[in-house]
Amino acid sequence: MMPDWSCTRRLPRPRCLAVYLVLASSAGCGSEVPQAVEAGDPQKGRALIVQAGCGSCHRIPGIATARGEVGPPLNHLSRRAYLAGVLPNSTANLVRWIARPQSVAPGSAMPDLGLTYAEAQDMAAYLYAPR
Amino acid sequence: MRHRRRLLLILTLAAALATAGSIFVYSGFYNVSALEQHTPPVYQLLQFAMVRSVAVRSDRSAPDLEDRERQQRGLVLYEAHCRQCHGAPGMAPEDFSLGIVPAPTAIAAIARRREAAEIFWVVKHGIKMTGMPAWEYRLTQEEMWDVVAFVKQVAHLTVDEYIDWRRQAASSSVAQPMPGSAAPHPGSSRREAVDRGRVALQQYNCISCHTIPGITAARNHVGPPLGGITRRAFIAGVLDYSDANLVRWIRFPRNIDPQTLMPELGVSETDARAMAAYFHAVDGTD
Repeated sequence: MMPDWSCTRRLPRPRCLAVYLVLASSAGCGSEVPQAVEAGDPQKGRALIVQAGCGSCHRIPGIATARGEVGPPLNHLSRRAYLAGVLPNSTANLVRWIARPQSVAPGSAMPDLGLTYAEAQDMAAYLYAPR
Repeated sequence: MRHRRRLLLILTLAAALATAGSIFVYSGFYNVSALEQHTPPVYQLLQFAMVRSVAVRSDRSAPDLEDRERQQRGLVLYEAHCRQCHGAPGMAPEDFSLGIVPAPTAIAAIARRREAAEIFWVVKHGIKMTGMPAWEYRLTQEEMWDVVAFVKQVAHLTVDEYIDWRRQAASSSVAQPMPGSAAPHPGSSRREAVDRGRVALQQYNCISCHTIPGITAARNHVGPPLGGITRRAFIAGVLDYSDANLVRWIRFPRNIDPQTLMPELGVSETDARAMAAYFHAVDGTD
């Protein structure tokens, strides 16, 4: 897979070239964030993630209590080509997966938590840009 | 005092070189296009370095390669795995290989210029930064020598003779190669299994989709990261974690989940177990 080099076409904000080169040396130095989730609020998303207990199964960046190792870690989600091993990564697909995992992959260990699509949108917004 | 000044001079020079090097790399001045030739000195240097590297590492000895049946087995393997890039008497390589830089050497040239032991080394190890893959994980030692035995003959064959050889090989019952049958013998030691697993993860190209601790090129995000996989409760969301299930998933993902985007790569049982051993080692769960 070719990494995303679009971030290397202009001189970056960091003045220190050496620092930039180190950062750029990791594959895909820009984040390939899919189209912005219009309604998604990452702050709300973070709170929802904590409430819903996602951290009991997943390591999640920016949430120290999220240390579960039942499922895979959720770092670099914006860079992943595929979600849950079956869906191309896009905002719509991530929202679908969070809200209705059993309809995407019946029998998956990821449970339907009864989340609304609005809640899933907020959570997706956080996961794509965790802080 | 003089020592200090000299040291300062050396450090300044080193810093200047490092800066010049960074500018050279960052500016994109070096053209990686396969449409552009190397300059002759660069080309010769790279060729020479490659030839020396192989010569120094190959064993001096080779087994008996005169056996006609061995050469025929080699021809069958060659047709299956090598002709696509290296061609054959009167036969072009496949289209995709025509644009590769460096170009796959014409097989008759290899046969004439290289020692059998050197050809064996290249078949087994491949060559970095060329299109030549390593075959150690896909062919047994004997199969690789079969290929070498055939290659050494190919420079003697006319077009008609080659066609004749093919016909003979097809009609005799020469065994077809099994994928993943190769082996550096599965080491009985755990250390060997871990080392083998590390190489296998690269050889089966797991690195192109996953981020795997301890493997340089494995920094990709097509699928999920594999660090910590042996601590997880589930594999791929559908299998309870166990080493046996991990091996099953690695080998036959699409049997387990027909929707999965993970392809079946023909991983042998031995290699899948070695990969599991590697994961345990990096996860600290062994």
